Amino acid sequence: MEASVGYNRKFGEHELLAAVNYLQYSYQVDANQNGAAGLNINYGYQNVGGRIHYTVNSRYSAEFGFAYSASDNYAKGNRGGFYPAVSAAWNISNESFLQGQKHLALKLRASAGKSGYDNFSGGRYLYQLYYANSGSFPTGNGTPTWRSGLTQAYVPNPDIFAEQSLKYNVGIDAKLFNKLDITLDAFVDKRSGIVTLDNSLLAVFGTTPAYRNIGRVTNKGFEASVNFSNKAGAFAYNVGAMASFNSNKIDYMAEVPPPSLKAAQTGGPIRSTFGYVANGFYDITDFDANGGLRTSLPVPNFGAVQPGDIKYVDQNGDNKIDQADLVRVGNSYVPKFTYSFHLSTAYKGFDLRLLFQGAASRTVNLLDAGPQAIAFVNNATVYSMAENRWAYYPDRSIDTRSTATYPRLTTAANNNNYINSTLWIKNGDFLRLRNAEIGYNLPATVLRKFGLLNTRIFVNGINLLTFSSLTRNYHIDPETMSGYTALKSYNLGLTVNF
Amino acid sequence: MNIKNGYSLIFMIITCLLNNSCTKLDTRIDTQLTNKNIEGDYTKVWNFGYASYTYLRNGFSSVDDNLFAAASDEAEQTAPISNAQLFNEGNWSPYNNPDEVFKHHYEGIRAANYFLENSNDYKSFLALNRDTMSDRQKQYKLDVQDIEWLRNENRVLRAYYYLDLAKRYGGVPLVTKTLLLTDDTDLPSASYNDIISFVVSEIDAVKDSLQSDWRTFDVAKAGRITKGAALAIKSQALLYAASPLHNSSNDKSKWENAAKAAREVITLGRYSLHNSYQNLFVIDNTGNSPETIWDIRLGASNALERKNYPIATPGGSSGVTPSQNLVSAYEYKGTPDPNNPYANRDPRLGFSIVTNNSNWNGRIMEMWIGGRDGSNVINSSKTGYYLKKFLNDNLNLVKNETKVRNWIVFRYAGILLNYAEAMNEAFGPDNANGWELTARQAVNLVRSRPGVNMPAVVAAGQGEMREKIKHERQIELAFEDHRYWDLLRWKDAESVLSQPLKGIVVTKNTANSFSYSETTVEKRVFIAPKMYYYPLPYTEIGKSKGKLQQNPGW
Repeated sequence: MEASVGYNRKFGEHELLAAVNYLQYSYQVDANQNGAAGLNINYGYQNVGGRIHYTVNSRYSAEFGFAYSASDNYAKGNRGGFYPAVSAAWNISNESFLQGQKHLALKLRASAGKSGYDNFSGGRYLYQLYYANSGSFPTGNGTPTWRSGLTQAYVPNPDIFAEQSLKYNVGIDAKLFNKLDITLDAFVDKRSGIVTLDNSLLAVFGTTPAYRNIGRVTNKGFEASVNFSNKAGAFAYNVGAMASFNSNKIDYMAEVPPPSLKAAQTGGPIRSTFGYVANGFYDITDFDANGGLRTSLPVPNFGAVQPGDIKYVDQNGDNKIDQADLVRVGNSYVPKFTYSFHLSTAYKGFDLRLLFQGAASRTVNLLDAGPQAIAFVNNATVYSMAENRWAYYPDRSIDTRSTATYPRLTTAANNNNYINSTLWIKNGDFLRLRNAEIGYNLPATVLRKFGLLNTRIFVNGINLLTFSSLTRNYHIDPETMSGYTALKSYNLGLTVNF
Repeated sequence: MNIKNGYSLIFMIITCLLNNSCTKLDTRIDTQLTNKNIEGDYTKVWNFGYASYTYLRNGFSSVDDNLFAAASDEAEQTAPISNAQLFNEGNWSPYNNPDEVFKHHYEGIRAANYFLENSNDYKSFLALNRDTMSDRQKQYKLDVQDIEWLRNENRVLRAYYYLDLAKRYGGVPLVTKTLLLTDDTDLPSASYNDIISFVVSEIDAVKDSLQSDWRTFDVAKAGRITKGAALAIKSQALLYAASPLHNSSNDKSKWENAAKAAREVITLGRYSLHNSYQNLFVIDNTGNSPETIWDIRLGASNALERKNYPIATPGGSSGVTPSQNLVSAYEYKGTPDPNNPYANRDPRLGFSIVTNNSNWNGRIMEMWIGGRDGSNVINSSKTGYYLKKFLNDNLNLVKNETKVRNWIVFRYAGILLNYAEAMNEAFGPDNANGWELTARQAVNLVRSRPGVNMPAVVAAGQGEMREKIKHERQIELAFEDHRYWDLLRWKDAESVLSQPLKGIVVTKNTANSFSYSETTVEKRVFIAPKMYYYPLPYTEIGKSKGKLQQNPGW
């Protein structure tokens, strides 16, 4: 159901515009996608929104918007939330002191707004108590009877509510000489009330802790784009670039305090990787005559080690390598910095388009590439990166000890080597020629003879070039660590209209 | 739409928001169980009552999903990377405890608390949707009785979880109600003695309102707590509390209480020794044995055989292999044979441990160098022995043959030894304190089981008898998850668990002639005093704002 009503009035230099709308909708999701009854999940929403827009002399404008939104996901009486937003803009080029000039259009913008998010992947109706099977207990002589137990699936939280996002944005739009467009934006997004398991409860609580609206994350970012279009005779071109910088930080997540303070997720970016700091490989001199690790060296907690295994830094100096020595390693897999630039030109019938995309301030974990990084284990094959393995067979004059970048080869699972460490964290920056296309439009004079309107022949390619140390050194696609790599493709095409 | 209609629309929206008249937000359809949709299903009360039971762990699935024995001086785990190994190397910590049960046990405790609090009204719940007047009344009454028992069993289970926690961690927070989100979960530990007092008082409160023998009521419910099981838990609680680790002043009254508690089980008159030590632990014999006080029933399986059969038996993978430390503890029964160290020994050696050149799995065991089960074979036993206790002989793993086998938590021989130990400490070896048995008589009862028939112990005074009783526990209860905890409570762990683990090297000389030499399998580490108690998980200490204290040394 939807309804809206609006109001618009002009008086002198002032213009007022107001609107209210009402929206109620519900839908069903077929959980098993088989149309069977009983497995349909219902969703219902209700929304009243409105805005008041006020402009003075097309120089200043301000807007107040609001929404009252309710979701069926929460307990009765706790379903709706009020989400206001304000924005203001100053169109400087309409000011009298800039009036008359034609080379500059300039606008400043600022906004702040609150929004809600009700879609939590961990389950719906978190206010409702559900019982779940806790397992079963066998009784009886001989073949037992299994008695199943029922316990609370989790402790319901009657106050559960939508996550909130408070977003602040300032921006500039400028156009120079009618050819150069520049847009700059900076934003801060304070997300709060993120539905998180309340891990602050101690184990004596005795069950899965409740979901609570306690998580807080700050997103900060900056975006800029420039675009220049020009025409010189028959030669028309457009070049542009875009860059965005985005960083996030977990302010609070009810984190279980990690054994190592350097491995706390709170205070760091989302999806950080934690691992050990690799410090070369164990050499034969690190072991005594019986093959035991020398007592002066910290003892790793992952099982017995041999020469050629990765050696780790004992961060806390307790002569053990264990969880207390974890640190945040590398940056996030999600790049902080992304950029792109494009070029499109046309000359007479010919056109050329290029699009480059890149990402920086990003690291990847080679272990995510699975079998490609972990040689031999689980009957896996071996990739070229393992050529630089640690090996020492003096009788066969093999000695790679000083140059090795990969631990000793073994067919057995190795808990010491194949765990997150700086050895496996690699720079994930890349620049890609995402798209390139050359086309030619046949001249109209030729076409007319054949009764055609326009005809274009083109060749294009996707992912033709990749500049990435990851690809260069490990033959791993920077965007798809395992599985099928990003497709490189060529197309030859002909478009004919008649 | 003109203005007037607009106003009326706004009015309509406001009214429907205020009184929910147009709300279509009640979309929830509960396919899982909620209070509403279990109303009227009286059988659900059992499911809530069984919940705490589902958290019980059996000793076959302890560390490394195998026997705990490999973390004590009884055995060695064959797999080089194993959790038992972390224990043995002393490489365990609040971050990494291979036997971490803290959270798990509190889940069992919560399930018991929840059931106890929410089943007060069980009589009317059981009457829902059923005829309680006619001939069905009989079943209703049985059900009422059953739930009454089940409620009391939950109190015993809760006590058992606390005892099992205290055995590991010492004092722990005592939670006797279902904690709510609004409750403070940052609780300090109760003292060890408070936990023991709670265990004892709970059992005393309900011991006479428990089923005595499920076979007389419904054999399909056997395996649930009985009066005997409750009293056995109490016996263990008081024995542990009287032991040197928890009784530094050697308060005799503690030992006397422990003796009384063991005697309470003995004087039930319900239990006696099984006539075959060998057969007690295999197939489902525990279920009907008069020796079993409480066993955890399990389905048919061959997992234990798969893990622990000798390496040369198809499907076997060595697993937990007995140590020379244990083997050499078995007494000689007659003259030692210089050519065969396993001849003329306490028969329980042959019942519990597979030795070289013996017959097992339908073949001769070849532990010698070059033999099929010998040290030259990959993943063979590091100790030169293989486990026999609990394992069904000749199970065909290739055909995936399975057998039912239960885990004994308490058995009568163990109670007799509890009694002997406590009596000896309280009154000396030969003073019955006016009761039925002296310490010496109780030990000798265990030793004279048919098929074992070991001679009476020779022990002059209390001190000698103490050593004999400790020794008897080591032999009689081998691999039954007593040894490690006994060594802790006796405070013998620092001297025993730090001894190197020994194995045997077998060399075949000529046909059927072997020479045996002891070898050190590995160095063992036990750091006293800190390892007398488990560390609390680091997560708990980290979350606690200083109220919950880490155990000393960790």
